[in-house]
Amino acid sequence: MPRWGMVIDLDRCTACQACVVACKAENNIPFSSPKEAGRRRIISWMRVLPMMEGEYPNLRERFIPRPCMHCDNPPCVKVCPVGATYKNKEGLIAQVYTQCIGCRYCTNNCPYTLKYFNWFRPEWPEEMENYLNPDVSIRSKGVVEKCTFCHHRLQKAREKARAENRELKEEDYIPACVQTCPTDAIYFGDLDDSKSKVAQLARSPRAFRLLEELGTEPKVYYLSEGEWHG
Amino acid sequence: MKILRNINVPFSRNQILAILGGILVVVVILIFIFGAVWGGVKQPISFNHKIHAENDLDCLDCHPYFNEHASSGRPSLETCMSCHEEPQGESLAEKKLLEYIKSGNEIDWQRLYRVPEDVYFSHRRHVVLGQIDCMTCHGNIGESPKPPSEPLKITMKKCMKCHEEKEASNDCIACHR
Repeated sequence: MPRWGMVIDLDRCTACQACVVACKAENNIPFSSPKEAGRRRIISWMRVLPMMEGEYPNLRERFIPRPCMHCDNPPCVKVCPVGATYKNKEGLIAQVYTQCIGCRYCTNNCPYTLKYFNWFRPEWPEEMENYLNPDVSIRSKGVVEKCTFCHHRLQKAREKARAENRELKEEDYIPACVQTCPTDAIYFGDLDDSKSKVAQLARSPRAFRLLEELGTEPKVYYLSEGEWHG
Repeated sequence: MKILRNINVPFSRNQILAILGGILVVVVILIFIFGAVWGGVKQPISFNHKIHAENDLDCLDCHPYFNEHASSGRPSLETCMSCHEEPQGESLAEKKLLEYIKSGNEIDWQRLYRVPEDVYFSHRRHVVLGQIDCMTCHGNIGESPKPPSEPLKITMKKCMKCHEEKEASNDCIACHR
């Protein structure tokens, strides 16, 4: 059973936000108005976090693209009273929207603040309604959602592999953000397969994870240099 | 009406008759409304699955996509025309079909069932990859002389039981999207 994970090379990332846009298009994430954004009610499964380092005049801006960390020890799963969010056998943290009662415990317990509550009924401009992805549901008002590592793509990849009578290969399953990244800064694959690119990169001395000290064991690794690793 | 006359009520006989008549009308209307709501789906042509199956037609002949797509598809007018350009029998249903053929309008087959919005179901995945027979879910539809008016009761429990037996995934997100 694979253990899907992601490695994001921050040296390659230019913070162009192509991943953010690709994610929104792939996963039927509605637009937000400036008003909603001002109230922090914007939904963006992939979000680039700007970080200012150092003091004037030696400033350095860092950008960290953050999808759901798909923690191996997920704090959000522990607090869900209805089992709407859980870790599946492949380590993906799933969100079952019809099961969700919208209590937002998980949203509050996620140390990375990467779970999003639907404050409004999603709406698209009329011209766009026919361009929604049929493989991804449209979430209703009052449920929590988050990055799924484009799980529907895994289903499709698995179906394709089965039709071609072969085992699923790592390169069959690529989330939208990984596919779109113009600088190839995002890698995706099986962390348990020691030969895979992600497993190799995750072992690199440049690798670190966000808020590692919390023991959430995130499956999204970042690559950077020097001072970041500490 | 003798009984009514003996009861001491503050209504005249005609008033009581009017009230009873009113109630009757309301009941009839209610029955009519319920009939329309619960009567199920009515197809524009009373398609006889049995007679088609007896004439060696395969499911795939009229539902052409279940090996390739998520939905199995309903027959186009062209499909019907490949056999029915000349009348094959004398049934009323066929006469209706001939009218459609004459006018060239597509038959607006009514949808029986819509997969809930949060579920992903693919015919191809089940029929081609899972090697499941149509009858497993659709029952003996080939022996029914009338089109079904309501969908079969397929519940999540049923899906999960079959998935368990066939060792398919019972992970929520394998079907829920």
